[in-house]
Amino acid sequence: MSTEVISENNIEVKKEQDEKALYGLYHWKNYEKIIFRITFVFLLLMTIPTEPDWYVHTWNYDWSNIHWNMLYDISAAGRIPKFVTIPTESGKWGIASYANLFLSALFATVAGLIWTVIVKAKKTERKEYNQLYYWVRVLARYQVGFAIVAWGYRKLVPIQMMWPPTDILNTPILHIQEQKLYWQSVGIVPHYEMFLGFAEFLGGFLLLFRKTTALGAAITTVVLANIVLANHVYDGSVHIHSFMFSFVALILLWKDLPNIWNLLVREKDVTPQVYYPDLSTPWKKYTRLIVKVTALLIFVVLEFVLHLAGEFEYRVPGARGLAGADGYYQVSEFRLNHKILPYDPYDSIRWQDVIVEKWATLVFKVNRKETIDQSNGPALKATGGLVKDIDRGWESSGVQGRHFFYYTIDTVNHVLHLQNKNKSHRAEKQVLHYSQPSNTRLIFSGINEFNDSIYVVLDKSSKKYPVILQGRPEGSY
Amino acid sequence: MSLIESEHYTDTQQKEFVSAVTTEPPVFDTKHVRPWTGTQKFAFRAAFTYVVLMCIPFTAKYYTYIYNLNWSNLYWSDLSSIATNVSAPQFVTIATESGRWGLASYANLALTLLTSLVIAALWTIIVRAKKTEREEYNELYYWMRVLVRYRVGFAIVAWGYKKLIPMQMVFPTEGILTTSIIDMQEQKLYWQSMGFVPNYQSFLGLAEFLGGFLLLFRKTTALGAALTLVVLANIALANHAYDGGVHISSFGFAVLALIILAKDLPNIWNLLVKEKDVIPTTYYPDFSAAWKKYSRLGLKTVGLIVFVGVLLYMQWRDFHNYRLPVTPGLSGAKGHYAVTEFKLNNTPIAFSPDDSIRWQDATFEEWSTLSFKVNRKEKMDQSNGGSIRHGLGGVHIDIDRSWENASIGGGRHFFFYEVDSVHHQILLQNKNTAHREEKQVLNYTRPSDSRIILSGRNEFNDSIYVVLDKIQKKYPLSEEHREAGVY
Repeated sequence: MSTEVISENNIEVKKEQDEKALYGLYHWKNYEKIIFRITFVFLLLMTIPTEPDWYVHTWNYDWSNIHWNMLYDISAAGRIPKFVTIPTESGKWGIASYANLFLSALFATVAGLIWTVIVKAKKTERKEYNQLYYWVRVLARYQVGFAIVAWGYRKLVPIQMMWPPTDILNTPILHIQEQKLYWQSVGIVPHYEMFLGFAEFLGGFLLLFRKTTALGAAITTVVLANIVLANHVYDGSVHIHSFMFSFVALILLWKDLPNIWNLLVREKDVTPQVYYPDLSTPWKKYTRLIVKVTALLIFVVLEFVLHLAGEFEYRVPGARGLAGADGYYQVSEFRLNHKILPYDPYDSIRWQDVIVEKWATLVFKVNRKETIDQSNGPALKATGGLVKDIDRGWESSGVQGRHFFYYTIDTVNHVLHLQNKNKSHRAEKQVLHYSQPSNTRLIFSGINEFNDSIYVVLDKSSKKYPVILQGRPEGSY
Repeated sequence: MSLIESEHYTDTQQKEFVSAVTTEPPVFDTKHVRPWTGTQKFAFRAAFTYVVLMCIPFTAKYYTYIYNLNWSNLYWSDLSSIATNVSAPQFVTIATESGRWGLASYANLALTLLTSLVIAALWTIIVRAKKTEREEYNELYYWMRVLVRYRVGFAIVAWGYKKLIPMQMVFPTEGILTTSIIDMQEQKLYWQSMGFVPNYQSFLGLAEFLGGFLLLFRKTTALGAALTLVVLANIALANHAYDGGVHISSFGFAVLALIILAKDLPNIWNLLVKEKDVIPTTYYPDFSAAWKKYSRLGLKTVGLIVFVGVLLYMQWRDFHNYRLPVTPGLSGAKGHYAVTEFKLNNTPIAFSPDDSIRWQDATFEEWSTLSFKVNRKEKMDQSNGGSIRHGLGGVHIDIDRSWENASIGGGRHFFFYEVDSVHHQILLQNKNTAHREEKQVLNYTRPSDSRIILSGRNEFNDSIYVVLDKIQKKYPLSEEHREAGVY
């Protein structure tokens, strides 16, 4: 049996360790200094916005119409210098999309080596970079911290993955792109989405305080690494930013890894080397306090309030649809130029079913292909706020089989002015007169997108779709 | 001469270096060294009892199951279930919806905890009354940790293998691909969204495996426990959100991982957050006697070979013989079909989404399952579609492998069939256990590669004649993510 006992001997050992630690702190080894210089340049490249757009947008924001995405863009956008743009498929989803990260690393390495050569040649090399190391960590901690807090908020207030629109609910999974399917599988469980958001938020938030940096960095590294992988397999397209955040978090954790390993795995005594700059003079103390509190108020508190105050379904049009009409419809009658067309799954003109969303989108199924929109259906405008209703593509991007029309309602004349939401088919417009003879019936008549006259009788499906909506009572579905 | 004395440090430098050089005494982890406090001892007694109740199976069923296994022809899950059977004693069975998915499903875990507290209290009273109370429980604590480490470690390794070899969430079948999101239960959508990305599933499996595997070695226990805690807590939450049905097991494992990690948490906190010096103290039993040394080595090696090595081999071997039937279907028929023509008792019936008899579409798989959609409900099989014969060992026969039809509604009906290639006939039976009496006998002709004509008796003894045409088009869900069985 071997137990360790506190003894004079241990105290002596402890003193020696402390001396070594102190010595090491003020006498960096040569390779440590070279690695630091490279890392320093790399972290600056990752954290300081290099895209001119970032500065233009930040300057031009309409602050009277403040929206959460303005604060989000300030803390997260404009980063990773764009050395090259690779428009291939690999440049979007694959290995080539990492080009700018590789080039940043290369740039940092070259810069770090030149720096080393210069200070050695001029014989001005320092013994240590404690101060600079501390401040570049502060910079990286706050940049990643605020960015990840913002990412987390979008799930903590579960708006990133919305409840599936009626159209997506009624689409076989074969007709849905991977990313959409993945996000919608999260969208149906808002409480779980909130937990995922909380995990992100927590990692980011802990990075904002020196003492909890290691915990925050560990959580951020793990959570973001998982997001990187998920974005690769589902082609979700935020793998680069996730990778960058995860990697910077790993750099922040680096300092503590040997200690964690020594403590937990090797079960050794551990003496952490900790350096803080001396911030005891009043002006330093209060400057630090004011800057920190202000930043926290803006990017943590205000950002959260703006999420709560914002549109919960920001990915789909904000304009309301035809009142009381939302639902899934069967097409009971369809006339083209006054001639009745029977149901036919192969017909390229005759509608097969129709969905009226709560918002101003009319969706119908015909056997006619469209060029599929492969984006995530972004709704955020780079200059702040949301894009126009017709451009909010969440419901239609990556979904096959139906055609999506945005519309405005002329309630006086009972007329809908419709336009295809798909960017490749924007020329398609319809003008349809509507009437609602009963709660479940909707009749359209007018001119379709090919300038033909159509007359359509729609009956709301009486069929119940209870499976995903009703939890788990036993029964027949 | 000490290093510090050899150097001149400015006051600022001394102030900047905030490690506990002289100012603060080091933080010793003293709980193994000094006599334990009363609270520590009570907590230990409760934890010990809880761990024993959780980790040691107390039902005869567990042992008769092992005894009765067909050891000459072992299926992977036979071995895996020996490792994964870590659960609370079944004090009560609650048959309500809450008992299956909700709060009431935690009843047995809560009762186990309660029992542990009662036993710990009695234990404390007895040893105090008899004045035989020990000063510490180092030895027993060590062995308690060994017990829980190995039980949780092997169990989580086995769980991880099911994803590492991506068999838990199978590739979407044609039938599921053709089903709208609204017609499937949450769990099915969740698992399918993992199913078509086997590489990601393997990664998730690796994360589980790693946590479990690290628990099997003393030095990496803390890392393994932290990883297991995080991964399993996430699984527990996901299973609540999606009604996945394994929230209790996952939660149980997460709690056990937390019990393992408890020893290191104060040290981690002191090191990382309080930035103090940490001196861990660790207790090991003395294994220097030869018989102890070799028993330990022998047991550990055998455990690792069986539950880490052999199990992996068996899962690899049985990879494609698990959730889906293995009887081959009509050759080359796999696909999604439109119903071009449908006659009922020789009367043609037009397509109608409201018709309860006329098929709207149909699918064939590589294996012998035919699915078709009509406007008629079935009583839903709400299971995860498990294929394991629980408590019996081995895997279900094809018709009972219900992954493809469980939790799918919306009027899609799944029939298992046998092909009589001499008479060009298929004999079909509904896979849903609530509708097994539905049988069909259909003759098939295949005038071209893309057309199948079925005629015969449907499940209501009516004569039907169905012309099916394969739909060939490009889908947004990419080909590589749809090719079941090709990895």
